[in-house]
Amino acid sequence: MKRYALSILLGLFIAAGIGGYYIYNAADRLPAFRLTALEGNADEAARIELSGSYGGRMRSEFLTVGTDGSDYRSRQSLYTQFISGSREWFTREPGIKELTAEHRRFMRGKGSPSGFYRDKEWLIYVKPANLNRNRPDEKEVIHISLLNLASGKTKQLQATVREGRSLLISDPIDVQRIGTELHIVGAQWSNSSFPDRQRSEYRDYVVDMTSGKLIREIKLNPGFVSTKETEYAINFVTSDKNIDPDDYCIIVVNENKVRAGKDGNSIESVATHLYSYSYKTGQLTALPESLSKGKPSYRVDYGLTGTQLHSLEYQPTYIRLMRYNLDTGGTPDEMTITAKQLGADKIQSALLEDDRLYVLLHRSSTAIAAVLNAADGTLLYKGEAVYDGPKAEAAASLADLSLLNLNLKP
Amino acid sequence: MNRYLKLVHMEIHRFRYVLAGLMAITLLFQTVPMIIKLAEEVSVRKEAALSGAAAEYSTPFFPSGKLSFAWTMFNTQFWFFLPILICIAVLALYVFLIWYRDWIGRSTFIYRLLMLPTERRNIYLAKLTAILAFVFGLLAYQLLLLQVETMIFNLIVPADMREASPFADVISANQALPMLLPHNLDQFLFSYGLGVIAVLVVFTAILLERSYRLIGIFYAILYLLACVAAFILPLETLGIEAPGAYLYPEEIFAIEIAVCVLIAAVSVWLGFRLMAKKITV
Repeated sequence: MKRYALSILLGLFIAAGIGGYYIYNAADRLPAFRLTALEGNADEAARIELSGSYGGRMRSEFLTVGTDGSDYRSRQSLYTQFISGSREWFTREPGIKELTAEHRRFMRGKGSPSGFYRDKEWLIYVKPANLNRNRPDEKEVIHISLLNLASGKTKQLQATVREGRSLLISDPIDVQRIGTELHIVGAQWSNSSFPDRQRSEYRDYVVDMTSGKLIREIKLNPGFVSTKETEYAINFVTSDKNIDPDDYCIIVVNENKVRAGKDGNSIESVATHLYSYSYKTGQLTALPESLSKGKPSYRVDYGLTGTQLHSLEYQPTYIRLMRYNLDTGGTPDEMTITAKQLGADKIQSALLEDDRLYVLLHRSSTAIAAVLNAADGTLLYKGEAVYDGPKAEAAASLADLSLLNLNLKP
Repeated sequence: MNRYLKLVHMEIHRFRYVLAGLMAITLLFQTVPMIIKLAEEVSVRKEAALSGAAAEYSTPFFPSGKLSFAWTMFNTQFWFFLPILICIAVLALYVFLIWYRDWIGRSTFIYRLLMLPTERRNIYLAKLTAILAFVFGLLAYQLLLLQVETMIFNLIVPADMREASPFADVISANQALPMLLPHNLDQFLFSYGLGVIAVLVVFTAILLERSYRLIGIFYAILYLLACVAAFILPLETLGIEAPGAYLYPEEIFAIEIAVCVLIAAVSVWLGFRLMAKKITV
């Protein structure tokens, strides 16, 4: 036994050292936080996820806080971080997780979130072909996969857009079905102008769902032409839940002034123009300028819920929500809510989904989440991030917590 | 089992002076610069306090401005990292030498090993166990050394100038330690699991070379390349983050785990087979 003392000691040393380290690490907890209701219905906050960092350690720890507690990224398992957390850019899109759970086989190999459409009868996926720009002989085709939800049968179609010319179509911006017609909205570039956004054209490709033939193309062109001094950039706004049926999509035209300087051009956003496109009628309609009043900024969001277009502007002291019915038209409804009304000093961010306005506020350094009814501004829920532990440690822990973003769980 | 343990002891015993040397180098390279750095810093701060000069010591990582063991680790990165690098280099070399030293030399020790009344696979497993014992032994030693260094820190720095730092901060203050001693146990098992598979592959490559001599070098390189390709291909081709990838991430993960298990199993089986059938006395 004495002869083997060195090896035995080494074995015990390893077990004690590394075992002790991981036992200590298991007991080493970062402070826990929770989103706790101050007033209203706690169920309204079930999807809220506040994210930010905890700075009480040497290196900041990224975390999310919700009604079920806090989750630190560094404490997540490898599997959670790299496997179940992979392709989050895809799985976090509204409706995608549900589709993958219900139609696992159909969803294989499909990676463009805006290419999906689902109604009571069909689940449809649209993807343009990946073309080689140096092969002008290749046809531009759109691949369409259809799943009949009643029978479970799938069908593949190919709609040829162009023959003999090299045109590129982006991933679909929106896909809608009207009867047996499939409407696919996408950007199109000629070979020479790719990938210049200012020189792209937007079209609604209307395809026959039974034969796969391209019936017609509708140019979605509000009529703005970029010049040296003024640039027009086009974006689209589709339904909050992009996979659901919709009657409209919104075209947002950002007008930018180009100023030549000695260090290159600078761009300043000066105005925004909104248009609605009706899939049923094929009409492009200019929307009231009041919906996009004020200087464009990252604090202005447009969204579409059914036939309701909303324009959400959030500034540090107020939120302004405008709603406009695309079917009936008329004057947009306007609602302004101040940070003071919500019992806070500053509005950090806001987002609108499914007729609910979710707001992240700060009162001194305390993060507050509020949920309001977007139709009338009624407060449905208000909660704050609190320390989930002994009261004596609360102040110090909360002082190091910084929650700056609000997201909704898929 | 008894014979296997005796062989493990023999391998550890013949490496003991090198192991002790590595531990001594680590102790010297980490503590001496730390003591010098701390003594300098304490002296500077004391002088500033005596002369009444207003000095700002707070930094983004250490906002209180006080000295802590994590601060020390952060400011002596190179000297902490250097002995760790030396240990890694020596152990990586010994993965090869643990076999080749038995063949090279006046008395070819491998023949004595192969003639022992024990299954030849025990020699393979004993060498593998010894390598792992050296790796984990040095890791445990580093953890012990950190405690000793904390005590030295407390002896040098006066109480009013210092503050305690969580052990997790001490580890994260140095760039090498979070990789060698990850916070989460699953990450530790994953990293060192891959390391064990790498050692198995190298062992089998060495045995291929020893079994077939000149052409054996070619077989060994081919085997190494095949294992590396088998490991990398699923990750590169199946596209865990790729839009439109056919397989789901959990399926790609399962395939990768299966490939790793296969590589390990084939390496062990081939190694045992070569030891039993090809390497002759």
